[in-house]
Amino acid sequence: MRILVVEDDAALASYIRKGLESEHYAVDVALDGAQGVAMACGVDYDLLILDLNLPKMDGISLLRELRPEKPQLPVLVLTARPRVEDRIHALDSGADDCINKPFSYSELSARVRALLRRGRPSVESVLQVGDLHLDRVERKVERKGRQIELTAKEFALLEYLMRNAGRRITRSMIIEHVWNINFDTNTNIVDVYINYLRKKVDEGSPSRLIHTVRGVGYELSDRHNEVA
Amino acid sequence: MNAETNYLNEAFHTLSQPVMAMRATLELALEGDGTDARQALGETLLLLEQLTRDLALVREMAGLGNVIDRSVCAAEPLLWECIEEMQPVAQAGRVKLHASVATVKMLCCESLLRRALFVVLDTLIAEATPGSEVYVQLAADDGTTRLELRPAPMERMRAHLCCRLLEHAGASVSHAADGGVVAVFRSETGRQIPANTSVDEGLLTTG
Repeated sequence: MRILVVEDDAALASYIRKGLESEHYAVDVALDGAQGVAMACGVDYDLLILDLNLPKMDGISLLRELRPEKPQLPVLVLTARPRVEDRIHALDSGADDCINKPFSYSELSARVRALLRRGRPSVESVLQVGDLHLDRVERKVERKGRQIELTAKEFALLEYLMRNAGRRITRSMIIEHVWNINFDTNTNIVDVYINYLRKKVDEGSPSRLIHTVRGVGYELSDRHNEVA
Repeated sequence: MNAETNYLNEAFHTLSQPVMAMRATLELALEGDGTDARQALGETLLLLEQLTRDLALVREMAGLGNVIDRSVCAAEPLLWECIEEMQPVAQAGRVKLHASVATVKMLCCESLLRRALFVVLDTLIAEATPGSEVYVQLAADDGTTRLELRPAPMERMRAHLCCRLLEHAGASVSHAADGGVVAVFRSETGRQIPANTSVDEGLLTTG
């Protein structure tokens, strides 16, 4: 899952990034409001963490500009203003939750999880496609009761495919969301990881879940026929 | 020549190549028949794809900015994680990935170092012929930590991006006489450890 942090305090942004990356989120950072709104509108993020005091464009203006474009994007506001009125103002302007500075990382992380859970039905803690189950919280994968051991990257890749089950996913989409890289790779890293995943997920099962879509990329679905 | 001028020159050089090739292809097609035009359109599309790929690299470099955010980093687990991530790709290409990693703490921006290593290893593995070898070595060296990558990336734009990412991760970067890339980081000396190095220790405050 991909999160954008818009925070002008580079040290704080760096701590938040490190924490979220340690929880296997892909994280981008914008250090001012103008850059933040451009990134938030241009990339498909799952969550926005937004400071209110920002150079170039403040957080409230950013929210007002963003909301018509991205009405479903969950937004967690960081505020150093302790007054209730300020929190109400932020929530009325389009924020989904607020957290006061200073805050503990554990609380931030819990609020992120809560927002992601309720933000979109596709990011529930347990994902299921056919007989394949992926538990995001326990970090476990099972197929027909058989536990499947995955590396962190394989887990992230499978989670992304399952969240987009039934949709055709290009290699560029995978490299962007799973590796957080916005340009083409030179190697066939996506294909290599898909092959590893296939061996672990599909081998030994009567039906295949991970399908190659020729000329496009991949699709995870419990349809038995090969995707043309 | 400063880094910005160097970057702009590099970007101009890289982007002008497919543009010039497209122009030449289309000009030749204008003088040919329908079959030539069709072939030229196909070639132009390929050149446009190359241009799009190069533009993405330019955008990546432009987005790095000027701020280098360094903190104390345990380099060994980070490097092993990056190497292990690329190991399946190396195996698939029948490239041997060798690593010698010392247990050191150094000052760097972890996220950019991780990104730099991904780009470097992705590029080196892609450029390696089957059966050849890629080396990663991290060693302490007189108050500094020295990261050596061999061979050096060949593709100009990728090589430039690799160096820029390593520089923004906190290293001074040079090319070794035998063709590798050398990134030198400041080693952690003890007194440079920030009070709050863990994201889950204490409260996060802002200025």
